[in-house]
Amino acid sequence: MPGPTGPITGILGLSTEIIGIWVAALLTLAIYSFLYGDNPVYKVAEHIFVGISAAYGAALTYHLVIIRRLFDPLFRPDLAQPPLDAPKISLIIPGLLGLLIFSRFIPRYDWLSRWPIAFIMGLYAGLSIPRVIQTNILKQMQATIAPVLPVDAGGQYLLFSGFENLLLIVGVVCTLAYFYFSLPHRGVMGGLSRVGIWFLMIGFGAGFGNTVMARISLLIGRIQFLLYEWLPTIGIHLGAGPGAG
Amino acid sequence: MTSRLPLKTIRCLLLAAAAWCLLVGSAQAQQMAGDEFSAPVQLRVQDDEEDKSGTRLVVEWEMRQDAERVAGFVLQGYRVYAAELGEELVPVEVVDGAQRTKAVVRDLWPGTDYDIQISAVYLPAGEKWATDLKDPTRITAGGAVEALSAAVGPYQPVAAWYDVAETNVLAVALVYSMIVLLCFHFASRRDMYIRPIPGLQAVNDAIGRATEMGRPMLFVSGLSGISDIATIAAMLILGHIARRAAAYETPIIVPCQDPLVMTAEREIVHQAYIEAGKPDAYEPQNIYYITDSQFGYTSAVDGIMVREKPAANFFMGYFYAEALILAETGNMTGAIQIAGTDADTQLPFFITACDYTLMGEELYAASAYLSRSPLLMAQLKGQDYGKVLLAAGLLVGVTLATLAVFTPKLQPWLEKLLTWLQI
Repeated sequence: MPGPTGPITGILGLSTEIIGIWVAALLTLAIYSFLYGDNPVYKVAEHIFVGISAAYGAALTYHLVIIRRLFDPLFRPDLAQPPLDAPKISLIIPGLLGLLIFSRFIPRYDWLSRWPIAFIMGLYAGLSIPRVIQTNILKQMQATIAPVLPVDAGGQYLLFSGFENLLLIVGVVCTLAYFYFSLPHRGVMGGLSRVGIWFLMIGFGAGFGNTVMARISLLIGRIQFLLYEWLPTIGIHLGAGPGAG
Repeated sequence: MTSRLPLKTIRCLLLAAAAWCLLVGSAQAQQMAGDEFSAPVQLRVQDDEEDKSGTRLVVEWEMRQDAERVAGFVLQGYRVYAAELGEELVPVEVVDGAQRTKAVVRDLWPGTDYDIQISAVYLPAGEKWATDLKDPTRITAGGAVEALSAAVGPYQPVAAWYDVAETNVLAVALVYSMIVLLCFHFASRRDMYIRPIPGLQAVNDAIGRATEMGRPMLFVSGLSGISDIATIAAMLILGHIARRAAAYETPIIVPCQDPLVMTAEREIVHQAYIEAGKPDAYEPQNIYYITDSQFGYTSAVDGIMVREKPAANFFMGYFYAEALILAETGNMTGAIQIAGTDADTQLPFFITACDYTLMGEELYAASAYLSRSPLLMAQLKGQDYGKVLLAAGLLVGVTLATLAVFTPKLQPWLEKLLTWLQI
């Protein structure tokens, strides 16, 4: 990966690109310093991270939600995206619900802040019930129903496919048994739930390995950034020229 | 005479030929000038029957057979324009391909009148079709010429009151509701058994440990919003922990990633302190918003764990990639850790780094287990009986599928069952 070759201009004679690389590299090292233990460098990086992300989130919400989705369509319809002929009066309802959250600042009326929360929880509960039934129950049932002795077009038994299907149904039923709370896990139920927990743990093991591999690739990405983007900039300023390091 | 007659005839023929050429030429020129870039014709717009929410219209049109190549230009596709009745038409869809004469206009409002217009998009020969990545309705290919049809309308997308295809969802919801109502009926009359869940039995031990050590407890309710079922389950557990914390006067720190979750959790903890008879001990400043940035929040919670040194950490709710970072840091500080999530990708990390882990359904069962409230117990029982029905249905389905391999008569029944389950 080539080193930065931009003109050396900007703050203190450094290009903005190089300043960006240095800020990113120092913050990366500051966060990694937590591996040694809590220290002032980590605290600085943490506070910068939290402060910037909170402020950025607030600014984004103000511009994209409050201004663009509420204020403009309601008070400046000609500036709304897309432009409107008349104010969208119906937006007063979500606007008022949002304002009710601020009633928490007035102890006498702070109970009003429960209304928007109740509205959101009720709305999403209603929306999610059909979705959960569709994806977590019906779709899964459909995928699980398969013959344990399938045959191909020529009438030959597909033993391996049959074994896979058998494993699938045994795994599902035993895992359901593990999550059955109305009976103690003894006797038949105990046996089924033990098999179920084995299935769960094998699945979790596979997931663990998969995710760790993805995390390692993130670490490699950071180390590549430090080695190939940040270190060469040190070379530039020591007079070794672009690409050095 | 003999020489003049042919000459006259020739003159006449020449005149006739010239007149014919003039007529044909002008007709061709007229055709070139008027129909150089043909626009789509015979627009047909109708409600999308497959869309029961009433947000889509289907548009079909026709093009002249000879319209594909015109004076160095090639017909490459179409743009669909739509607008509410009386408003300026704006592009809403592009169709790549001259032969494709059908488009679906999406994201409309049910029961609203719309005007529709189609433009044929011609590009210079050799130019490739290209649209803007950010605004896919904007054609970025150079030299594009559009031939607009006449606008047609008004047309309304129609929403259906009842979607027949989702009858299966209604049936499952009704059966489950009936089971829960019956369970509630019985739960209010007699005690119901719930098997011990180790992770939940450890909750009280963890609170006791924090109290004995004189150190606070940390409660993280996941990184999803207030609408998530896991967050709601986490908040119910928080209520129980806060009641115990209030009784023992053990501080509980609740950093939040969502402002609405923070508001709800303050209410829950406040209520718990009132119920415990210690409203004055409630400290709202211990339940606070940090940031909605995933790793900004994680770094802050890590900092809290190493500086405040809570004796017990509770990670309940929905988590993403930060699960392992949080659990590892908590493990490093020596706190007893109890996690609960329905995020199957993060469960392995909690299992490896925490003392106890509530997996999936156990998190939902926690509130009933801890509170023993008849309503929540009835819900849990209803879920259990639902699982029995589910397992029975699966066994019947697999048996039917296996028997259908040997008995073709059963094949239609199997297909009926699979079709019924189809979404």
